[in-house]
Amino acid sequence: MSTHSNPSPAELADRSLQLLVCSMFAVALVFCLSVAEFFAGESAAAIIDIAVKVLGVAILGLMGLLYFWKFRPMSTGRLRESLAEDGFLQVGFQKAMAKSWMLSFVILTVLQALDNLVLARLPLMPLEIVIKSVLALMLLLFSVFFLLYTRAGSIDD
Amino acid sequence: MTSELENRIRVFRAEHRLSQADLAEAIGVSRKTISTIEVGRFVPSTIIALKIARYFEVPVEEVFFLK
Repeated sequence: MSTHSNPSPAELADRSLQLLVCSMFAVALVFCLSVAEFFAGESAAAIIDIAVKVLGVAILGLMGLLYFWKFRPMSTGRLRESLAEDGFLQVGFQKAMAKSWMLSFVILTVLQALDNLVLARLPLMPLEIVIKSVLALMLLLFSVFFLLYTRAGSIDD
Repeated sequence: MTSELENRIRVFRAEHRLSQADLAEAIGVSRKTISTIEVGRFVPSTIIALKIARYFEVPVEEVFFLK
């Protein structure tokens, strides 16, 4: 049996993808907090504002780390190959993306259809908050679907 | 009518005394991909299926078959 001191390119691609999904989830949290900040009282909004900034810096750090540590050393060909992998996580990523987009579309359509029941009862929101809400919904749904598709279900030896 | 894809990867691995990580590295996928194919949780692409069969030097239908 061989020993595996260095991870293979496929393992690196898996880890990079997991880091990317973590970053997307963190971005979703930032958007959620930003929307919450709009609805919260002044004192709570100040705390949320700090949380958003801390989380924002953490995400930037994570993305920077991902780029400089994983992607920058890769050649263009290797990078293209890694992103086009058809492994378990990569397929899960694509499925989660498709399902979350479809479900977001359905939710937004239903909300639009129930305009009088739901949307009309909300306070008037600036466009920025509306966009952040939609993005938060899409990213959160994506994170949940990715987790569902890729949750532990394998037998390792 | 739905068919389920079965495989004999575990048997072939045992015959060749290979771990999941060894097979994964040999065909250029991650260990998680191999383990999820083995338990039938993930249906591999044609390319991965052919790579596995080629590695064991058998026709692809000896490794993968419909239940």
